[in-house]
Amino acid sequence: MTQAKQTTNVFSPWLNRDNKPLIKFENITKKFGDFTAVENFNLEIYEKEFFALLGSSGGGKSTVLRMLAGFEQPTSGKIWLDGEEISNTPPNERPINMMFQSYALFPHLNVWDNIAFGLKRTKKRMASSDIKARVEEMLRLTQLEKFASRKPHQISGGQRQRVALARSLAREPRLLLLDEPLGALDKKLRQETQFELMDIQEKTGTTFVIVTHDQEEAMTMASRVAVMDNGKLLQVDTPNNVYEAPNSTYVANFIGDINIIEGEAKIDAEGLLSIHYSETAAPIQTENTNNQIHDGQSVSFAVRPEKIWIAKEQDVSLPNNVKGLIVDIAYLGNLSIYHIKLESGQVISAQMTNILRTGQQEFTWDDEVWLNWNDTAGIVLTR
Amino acid sequence: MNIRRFTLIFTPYFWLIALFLIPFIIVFKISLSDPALAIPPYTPNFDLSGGWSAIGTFFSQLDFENYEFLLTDDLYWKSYLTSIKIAFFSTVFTLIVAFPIAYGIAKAPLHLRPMLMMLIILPFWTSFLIRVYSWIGILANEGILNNFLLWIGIIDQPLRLINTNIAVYIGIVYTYLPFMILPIYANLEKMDSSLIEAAEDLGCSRIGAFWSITLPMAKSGIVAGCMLVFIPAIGEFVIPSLLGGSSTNMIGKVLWGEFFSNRDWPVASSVAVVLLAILMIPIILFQRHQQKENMNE
Repeated sequence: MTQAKQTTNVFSPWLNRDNKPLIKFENITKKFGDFTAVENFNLEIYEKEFFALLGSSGGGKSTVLRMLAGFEQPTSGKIWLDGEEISNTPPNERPINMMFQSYALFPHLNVWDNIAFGLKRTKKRMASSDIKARVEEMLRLTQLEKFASRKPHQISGGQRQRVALARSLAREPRLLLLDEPLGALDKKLRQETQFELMDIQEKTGTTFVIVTHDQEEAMTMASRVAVMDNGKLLQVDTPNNVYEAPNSTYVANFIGDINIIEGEAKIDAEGLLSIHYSETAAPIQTENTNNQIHDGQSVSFAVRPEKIWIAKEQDVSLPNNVKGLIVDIAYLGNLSIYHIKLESGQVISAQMTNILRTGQQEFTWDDEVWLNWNDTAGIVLTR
Repeated sequence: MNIRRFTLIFTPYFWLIALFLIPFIIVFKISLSDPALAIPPYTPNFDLSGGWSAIGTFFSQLDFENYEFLLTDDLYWKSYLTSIKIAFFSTVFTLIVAFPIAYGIAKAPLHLRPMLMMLIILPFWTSFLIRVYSWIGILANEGILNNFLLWIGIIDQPLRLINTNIAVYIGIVYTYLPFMILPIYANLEKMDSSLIEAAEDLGCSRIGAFWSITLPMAKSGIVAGCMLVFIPAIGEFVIPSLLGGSSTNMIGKVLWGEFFSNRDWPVASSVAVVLLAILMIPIILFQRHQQKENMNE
């Protein structure tokens, strides 16, 4: 009973096979001349999701967004919206709006007219009183009431960002696309705006698809994250799963910091997995979560720095104990990052939270320490 | 104030005083004088040797009768009107021709733009006079255009183009085209292409986006281009006298006639002063527009 209640509380429409996706990419390939920007792309996005496309620049995520908006047509494959094919529908006939990276505010129109622009161009003509009401609602939502008569160049960057958001939301799109929406803001404002965006998304119930290269941004806001590289989709999952269970070393490296140790997998008679990475060091003991690993395969063991415990003494209660020397310390205030050189030569980074406010840090340069971690701390990757 | 700053600030003023204000005062003074069979061909002449009384008589001899004369003969105000009309329509035609060219260059691939710009500016390397003359060769009854049209059989009689207003329009549009293209291009080129995409995204068709975004954004370029064409076109003398007929009485031609054929410098000067006054109107409007634009930026 309690179990069932929990699953309905958490927003995860992608888990239910009966749910129809709002957007469906079907074998989409996009080529610009010889260059393949997006290759054999399949993805389903559900209603009310806050979906993030994450990847380094040139990875194809912007092309995906532009195909959704209608600025680019796929070379092959189909895009569906609500079960209707929209692959070649022009942008002005899609119930989709976009917030541009440059905001693309019309410089000759004031804030009010910028927001009203799309409302004056709806298929079914809106009454001017309705337009007025809608613009005012948008101004309230984005707290821009005071700036309605200003021109875009007379307001700050953060305000411009909100005008762009209000303008793209005004037409009540089925889907809102956001191209690096926070890219032009400074760090502090960016963090505030992240929460504002989530708030607005929840209030309006609009489906958001956001393109970003900032993994923190994607992790903070998104219900699901798609990691792209070289025009290919590498992994689509919740931020938690992408972080804790990356499916490739690229994803593992792209999202947060991680230690990757390459070695050979050995599976003993009881089915326990160990990874031999050095002739002298003891093999790494780890849980076997990936059934496809066979004995003798070369694999990568990936473990996040915060999951490694640094101790002065060996802790035999944990399955993994490795001795090393501290070569570098980065003090970040809330935590410190230690770089520890193992006897086998690898440099491992480990994180410790700085719990004590006063007193000496426990470890310093050239200290000999033991790194301990559990057999569930890391993940074994085959690609 | 140090010498350097003084020189820097004074140089443009000196330029204006020496090359605009003083000549203007001289022209204005001549326009208030009477014609005379003398060298220079007007009276009175400014003479300091006669003392205060001579200066007094000098000023008493100046009057506005040349300006009154301009009102009595309809040749003058008709010529002003013709000039304004021709300048206005040529500006419109130039805009119609120039806008697509400027738009095309602004949308051309980046590596082609300098070459296309070069092609626009290239005609300036040849003397303006020679280029206008060559239009006579093109537009004449036995000219290239008529021969070509006769040859392909569109017409069986040569078109009368030379010595008509059509030829004047062609000449002005051709000559002033770059002055229209350059400011519009400068405007369109710096326009962010995502603005058009945003307009389409918000429900505009391609054409709708052009009217509601591209055109308003290019407004200041269009205004600047129109002024750069309209102002010199009003006073244009060479094009109407070479390509226009005897019926094309533009004020530049009238002015030239007064000066060189009639040797009536005072009337010619007053024609020039009135022309300047007429031109002040668009120039002031232009300045105001520019100021408003600057305030907006």
